[in-house]
Amino acid sequence: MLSVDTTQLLKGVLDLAVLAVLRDDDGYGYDILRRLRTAGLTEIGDASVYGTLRRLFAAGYLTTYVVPSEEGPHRKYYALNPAGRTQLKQGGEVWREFASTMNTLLREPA
Amino acid sequence: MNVEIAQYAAQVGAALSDLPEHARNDLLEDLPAHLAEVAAEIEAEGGGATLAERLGPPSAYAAELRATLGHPGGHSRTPAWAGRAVARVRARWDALDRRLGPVIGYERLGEFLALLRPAWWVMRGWLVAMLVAQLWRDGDGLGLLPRFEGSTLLGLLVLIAFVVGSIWLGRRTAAAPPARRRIRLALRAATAVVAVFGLGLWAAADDRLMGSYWHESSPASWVNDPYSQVNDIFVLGPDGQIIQGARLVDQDGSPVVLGYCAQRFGWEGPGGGGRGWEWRVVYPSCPDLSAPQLPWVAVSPAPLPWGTPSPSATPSPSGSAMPSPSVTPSPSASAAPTPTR
Repeated sequence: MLSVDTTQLLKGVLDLAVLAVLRDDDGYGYDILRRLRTAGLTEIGDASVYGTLRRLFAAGYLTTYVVPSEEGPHRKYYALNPAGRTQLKQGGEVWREFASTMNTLLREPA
Repeated sequence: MNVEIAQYAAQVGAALSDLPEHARNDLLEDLPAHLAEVAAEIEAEGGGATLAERLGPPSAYAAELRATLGHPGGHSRTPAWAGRAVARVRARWDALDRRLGPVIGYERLGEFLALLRPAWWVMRGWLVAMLVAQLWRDGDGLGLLPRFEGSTLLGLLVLIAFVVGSIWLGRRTAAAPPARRRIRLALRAATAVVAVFGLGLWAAADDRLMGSYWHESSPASWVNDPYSQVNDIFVLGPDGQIIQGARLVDQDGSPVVLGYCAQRFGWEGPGGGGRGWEWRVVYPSCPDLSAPQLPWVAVSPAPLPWGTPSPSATPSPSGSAMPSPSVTPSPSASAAPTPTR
């Protein structure tokens, strides 16, 4: 049985998606999750985003800083560093090429 | 809320315990802070829901976290086959967990087992106190309360101290498992020792309550036998001679089996015991034990009138042979043995 759902597709491109929503604005965990969901990745879970952020940080693509908050806990903001921007650019190219190939493959005969 | 966060994080951590330490630490280091952020957002959006309701059960959260590993830059150091094996065991346990839970009215069996944790902490404290008391007095005797120098009061104080300590440790490790792998392993090993000791204690208590401690046929009764030091019996006649092939009989005419060699005859003697083996035991019964050095025992005993009974002879306690009075004991032996020193 062929089963393609967004969760499976997302696995391969989650890194890229997280890097993408950080391109213009830094963000903290829950904020990043919200951006991804607003953008249409509604099935994405908190653990996926948190785990991906930790891993991208460990891999050296992100920097973090803590912003104190008057009410509630401090927030840890994540920001792209130059390595992260390079990664986003390269990953974006790979994705566009891959997506265009898939589109060609899946094109319905007119 | 903080307790809920700590518990949730601890349960996620427990579900990831098979990961290599650094990968696990990378994932878990920030988790409580992150969960606090999430909790604050939940609060801001109206609140009311628990973490588990918003994020799913900790095990699911852990599974999702695990799925984010293994991409480029991932950390997994475990070989793929081990990972698959662990996943299989995990899946099987998960199925069992869900199937057995409803039997006792819970969604998952693990849910119920988690409730029993504090009970285990109390029991662990008691077991450690018992273990310490046992080591203290070189394992002599065993009660249900630890005793030190025979003092019950001191034992009670120690017991309370250990139980309180165990509860403290339990709460602490449940909220935040020790970060260092070596400490976690040491704790686990200590738990295993305590569990094994507990099983032994339970078996010993059961044994004693069943009364088999004093049961005649149990080897333990030999231990408490005042004749446990006896290896063999030498029966001396009035002439001071060792009577070979003697049988011992009690007031009821039942054979008396005395001494290590005679007892051993029961389980590995010629014929391997069997019915009436007691009657086939003759004294001295150790084949290779030389006669005791007694100054008044003559070196060469005179033959007995009824000969040497063979061990395979039919049991006949009332044996027809009667010592004939005409036998003269060897001249060198005096009738009344008077040990002179």
